[in-house]
Amino acid sequence: MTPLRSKLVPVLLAVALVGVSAAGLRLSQPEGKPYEAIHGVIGEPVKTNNGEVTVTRIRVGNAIRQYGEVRDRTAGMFVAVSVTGAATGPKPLELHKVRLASGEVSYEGFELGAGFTAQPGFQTSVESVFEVDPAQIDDLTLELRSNEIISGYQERVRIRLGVTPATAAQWRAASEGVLEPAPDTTRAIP
Amino acid sequence: MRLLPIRRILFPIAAFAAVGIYLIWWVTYAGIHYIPRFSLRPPGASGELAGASIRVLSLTRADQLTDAKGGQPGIPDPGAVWIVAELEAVRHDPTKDFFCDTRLLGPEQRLWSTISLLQVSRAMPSCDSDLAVGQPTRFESIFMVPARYADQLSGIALMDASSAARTPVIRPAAR
Repeated sequence: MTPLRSKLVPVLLAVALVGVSAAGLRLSQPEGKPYEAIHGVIGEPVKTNNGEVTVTRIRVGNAIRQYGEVRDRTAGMFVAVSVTGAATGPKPLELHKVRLASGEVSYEGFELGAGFTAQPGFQTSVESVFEVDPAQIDDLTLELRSNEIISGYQERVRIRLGVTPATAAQWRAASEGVLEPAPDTTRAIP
Repeated sequence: MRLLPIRRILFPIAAFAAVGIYLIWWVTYAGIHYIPRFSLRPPGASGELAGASIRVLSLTRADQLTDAKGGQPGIPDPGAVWIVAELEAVRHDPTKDFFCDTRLLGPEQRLWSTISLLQVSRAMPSCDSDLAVGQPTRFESIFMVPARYADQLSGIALMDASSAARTPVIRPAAR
């Protein structure tokens, strides 16, 4: 082997290894996102690694009542989303990071603790409240994910709430009222 | 035909061996630290947790929890039952900070944590991290599990996230 060829082989080998590594990274992060979006619609269970998530009801209002008293009012609109999470597998279902999204606009939970944990074999139902801009509610989508300090390849559940541009006006009109969020409930999975 | 020099063959073999050793080490490390591993102790045997020996005196299934002050009994969530574990701990190593992380181990490594906010008063205290050294102390841990798993429980897992050793699972003595 000539000196030139003997130097060329390791260089080509190094380039090939870098190429394989880049392809591996690319394959493990499709579309450059470090998460997998699992899409669903209201009323139908969405399967995740550790269980199932179902949005069962949406209510709107412009005030929140708790313990018999009106506690908060808004110039915008409150959206209360009832979610049930069932830990059908051996691990708990922990979805503590919850938000509503409409296009580029994102709404965090009105109160801390909008998410939930369901222990193995249990299902937990919560009603999470969000304060939103009534002018920006088209295609409202609930996103739930775990709250990790160091996150790997995450699952993000995205459930469309059925607020289309055609029905947005009806939702805005329905928001003149007082909401009383339901308490959290837990039961064994039937 | 020209023979390849031995150095030229040994170098790639050494490189592959180094990569192989690294991969085996990493998979082993990840398996030890991220996949729960349990060690089921014989009935009645104790397990070690943070400088203390703990054993299970009894593991009882109940549909209600009695209130020591005569109040309303504690009712589990629909479809669930209470599992009451009576435990005894002896702290023998004062240099270690004792903590209580007892969990109930069920089928397919399902783990349930203790219920901390009970609506009833109990006669037996819950676990106290301030254990006296050398003095046997009894306490109870209360769990709520789906009724369909209540007959498939393995025992009490003594969880220590700081340890890479297998988690001991202790059970009451056979009757």
